[in-house]
Amino acid sequence: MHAKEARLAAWLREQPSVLLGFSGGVDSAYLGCVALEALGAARVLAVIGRSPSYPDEQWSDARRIAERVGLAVLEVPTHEMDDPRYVANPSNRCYFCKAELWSVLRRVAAERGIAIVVDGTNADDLRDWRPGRDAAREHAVRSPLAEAGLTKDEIRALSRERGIPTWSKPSSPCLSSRLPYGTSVTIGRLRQVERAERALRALGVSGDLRVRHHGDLARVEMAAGELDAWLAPERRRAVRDAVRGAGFARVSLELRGFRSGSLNVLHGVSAA
Amino acid sequence: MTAAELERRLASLGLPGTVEARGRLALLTVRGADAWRAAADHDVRAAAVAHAGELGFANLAIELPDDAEDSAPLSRP
Repeated sequence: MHAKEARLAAWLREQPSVLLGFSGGVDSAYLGCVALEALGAARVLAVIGRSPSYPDEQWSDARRIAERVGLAVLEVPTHEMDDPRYVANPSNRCYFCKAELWSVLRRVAAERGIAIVVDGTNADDLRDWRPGRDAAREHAVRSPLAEAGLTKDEIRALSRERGIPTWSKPSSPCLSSRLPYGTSVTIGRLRQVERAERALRALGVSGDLRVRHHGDLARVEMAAGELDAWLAPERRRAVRDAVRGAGFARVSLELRGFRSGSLNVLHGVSAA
Repeated sequence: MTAAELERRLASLGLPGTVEARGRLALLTVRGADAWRAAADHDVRAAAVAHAGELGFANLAIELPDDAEDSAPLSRP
């Protein structure tokens, strides 16, 4: 693990400057910290591509983390919602989102004379169904964490050692991932999911949480270890009322518990 | 995928109810305190999910009903 980190730092030191696609998540926060150490603050720029497919809290959180670790940060809007190919929500939806993101960030890098654009893809991500990786390749975006072979668990462990506050942060993919493929991505649906998840957090649901949008039905996925408690009468009624308050007519709890990419499984894109 | 067969298997686990098939999602509606107690048991849930998988369902969710239905016994035709 430490040897991989040393390889990562050595690679970064060879770069004249880097622009980091920054989400404030575990991976990009860690990469930002190692890049700062290797290159110094003047040669690292973290850029947040602001998309409506993320909750507002994501961005305030990302700014706070950047400030805490000393990263210079820039926010730029992305416009994937203007692309009908993205809105149609095909199984490679992520490709169109990332193509927009990397196109915008490439432009920023060119304007500022920054040599390399990097992202926080880790070694585990390479094993998943990630159509967004194609867009990264097409825009010559490098993934130094994956290239160093660093896995998510290792990045969490190294982040903890460094005192980076994101070390235990749950993954938070975009809200569009809560919509089954073929269900068009609309601002209304995204905000519905956002309101439901926020309401559940306010109730005290901790750990992994997804509200999957099945039209009139919400399917709530939470960490399997949380289910015993949330199936008790008063708490399941509180869950129901919280999610109905976000505009769902029917509410259900997934008995398997949280599963990353569960809509991919539902659509046969990845294995059960 | 057969909702009726899944209903039968879930009932044998102490989860009597109706199963609505929505593509590869099985949506279970149970009634009565006993069924909810069973649903709150990790081993019962694991067995229920396994049955759903064997019958071709990718997901098994339990509906959170209105208060009146939550505590009412399940009435079957």
